[in-house]
Amino acid sequence: MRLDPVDIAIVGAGFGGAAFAWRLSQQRPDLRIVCVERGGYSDRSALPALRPDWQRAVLNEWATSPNLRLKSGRKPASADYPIDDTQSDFKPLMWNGVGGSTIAWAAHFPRLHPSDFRTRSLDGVGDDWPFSYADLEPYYDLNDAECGVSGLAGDPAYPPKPDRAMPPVALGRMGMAAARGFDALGWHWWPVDAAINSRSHAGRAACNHCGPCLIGCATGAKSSTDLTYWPKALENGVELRTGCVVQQVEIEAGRARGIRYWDEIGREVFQPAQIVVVAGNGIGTPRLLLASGVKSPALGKNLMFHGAAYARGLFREELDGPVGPVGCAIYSHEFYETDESRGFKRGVHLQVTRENALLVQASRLDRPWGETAQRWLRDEFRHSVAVLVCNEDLPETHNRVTLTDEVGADGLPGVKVEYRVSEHTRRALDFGLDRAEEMLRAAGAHRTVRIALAPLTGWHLLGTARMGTDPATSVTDASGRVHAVGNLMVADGSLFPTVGAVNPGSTIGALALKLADDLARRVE
Amino acid sequence: MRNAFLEAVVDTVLPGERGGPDATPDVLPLPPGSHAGVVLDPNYAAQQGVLRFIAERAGGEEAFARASFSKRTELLEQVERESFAPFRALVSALVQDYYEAPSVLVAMGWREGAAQPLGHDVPQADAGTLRCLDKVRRRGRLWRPVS
Repeated sequence: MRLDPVDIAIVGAGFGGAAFAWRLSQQRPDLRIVCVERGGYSDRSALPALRPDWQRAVLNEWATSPNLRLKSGRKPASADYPIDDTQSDFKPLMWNGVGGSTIAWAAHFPRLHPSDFRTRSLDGVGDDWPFSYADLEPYYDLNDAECGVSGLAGDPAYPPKPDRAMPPVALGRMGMAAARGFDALGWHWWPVDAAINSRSHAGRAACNHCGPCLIGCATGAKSSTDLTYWPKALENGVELRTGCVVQQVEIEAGRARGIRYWDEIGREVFQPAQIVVVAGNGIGTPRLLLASGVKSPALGKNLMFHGAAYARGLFREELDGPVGPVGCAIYSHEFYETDESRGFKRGVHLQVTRENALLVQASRLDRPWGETAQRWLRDEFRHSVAVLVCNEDLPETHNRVTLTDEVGADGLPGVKVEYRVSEHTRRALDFGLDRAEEMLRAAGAHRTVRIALAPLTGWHLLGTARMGTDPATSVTDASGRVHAVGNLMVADGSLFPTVGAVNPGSTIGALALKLADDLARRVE
Repeated sequence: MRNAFLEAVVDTVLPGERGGPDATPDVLPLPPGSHAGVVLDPNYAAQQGVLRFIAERAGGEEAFARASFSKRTELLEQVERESFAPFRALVSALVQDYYEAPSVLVAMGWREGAAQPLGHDVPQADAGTLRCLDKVRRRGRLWRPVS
């Protein structure tokens, strides 16, 4: 079936696609914009947090990994495809549906630092972005305003930011215990910026600290693009088609003609478009572009996740780790900027996160059965503080996304992820773990435990269609235009040339807004 | 399969706190799995293989059920070594039932039931904690300037 042509066809309704669609529709109401999404809307009235057996949903149909969800035997609400991650030290995590991974994210909302955009010039590693923090700053501000951020202005780890829309999410006893540790050492700490309502805001409720943010937010306090950008984009006239799996961007003589997809009842549809924008995340985007025959030496390569490890402190005092938004308490950027005496370049982000629910804590023990496991759980549950150590993962071409010879149930070629933790990342994580344990002891922990690598943290799927100026080393230009196909764009985290050491959501949104403005000025 | 055998497997995987933790009004001993309502279904095909294997290693279902707790633990450790994936699948199923059981949640000082709509109370930063931020502010700019 061939449809009437549109001006813009967007593939993927996650953070990048949503922010891009809203901004472009706001700037250019004359354009006909369609977004095609493989999944559907999440039904907030049916989320697991409303059921007594919500904990097991975390391990099954709402597991963070699409592979685990597919294996669970329960029907996930996410429109998943399997990913061969057997040769990846980190397991790719994502949510496929309207809102993308913002449905299941922790909504930790830090920005990159100015230095993150200049790693090659400053430190001789990675690559410079084709624009600066200052260029992106107005879009960070706009993205903050649209998503709704709780936090506290005045953090000296960043250039000044506008007042946050809401006060910080409650630190809880756990956050205050960690603050005590950072303070005793004289280190930087600050309440996190969170895209979560700490009070009623923008027609959405305040968070009531139920805990399991990663299985969807039943109250809507957590910002996700199905609640923020999409309603406004639809009001502006953007058409969102759900349950539609794009098979190919059709390309002829170096120009994208449109997209071919299977609609929700299995019909093959061709949607002609003047411009095609792919926003399927750092795995879905290269998968589709490779399947469409896009040629670029950098396509699928330089996959970056962020190195991730945990230190956990056990305290005699009773804490409240298992409740409240999981990604929220405080963070430290004491060690964020390069100090070559540490033996590695760039830095680490120390994030005090909340603890897992009881069943999840029990299930993740090395040996989750027997007397020892139950004794350990008794010591740990409500008595621990976890510190996530993230480092700046650097681009390496052997870390990559490729197609397999198999054809998936969704009609696309299968996809494989190869990723190995580098020596650089190992040194940075070990340094960060040492500092995290030091802080925990200063806060009063009687025992600390290291999880040297946290494989199930691979939310940050970045770098596989990187921006740049040289077609030999980048896939797109600074405006997200694919070098080899001028009317084909990317608008998601795939574009990041480097990734800093912090969560990318805030930057993905800001970048998509900037790209939409670039296009709005350019398109006829 | 005999109930005594199945119950012994459950209570070896999830023995509870037989001696009990230091009792406080908020902390009750964890019950053994079978007392928390965790049951193994002998007709559940996915688990029959590993259960038969446990019985075989013990010299029969009755021998396993009659063995001391430490002997049963040794046997399960052996099964875990020899048949890791099926054994861990069995453990996973039991653990999921156990740690959602109301009596277990309450013993851990937790609340049974859904996470919503009640949520939880989480305290805001107290005045002392907020005062610590003044020290951070006084340090001045930490981010690296880029010319």
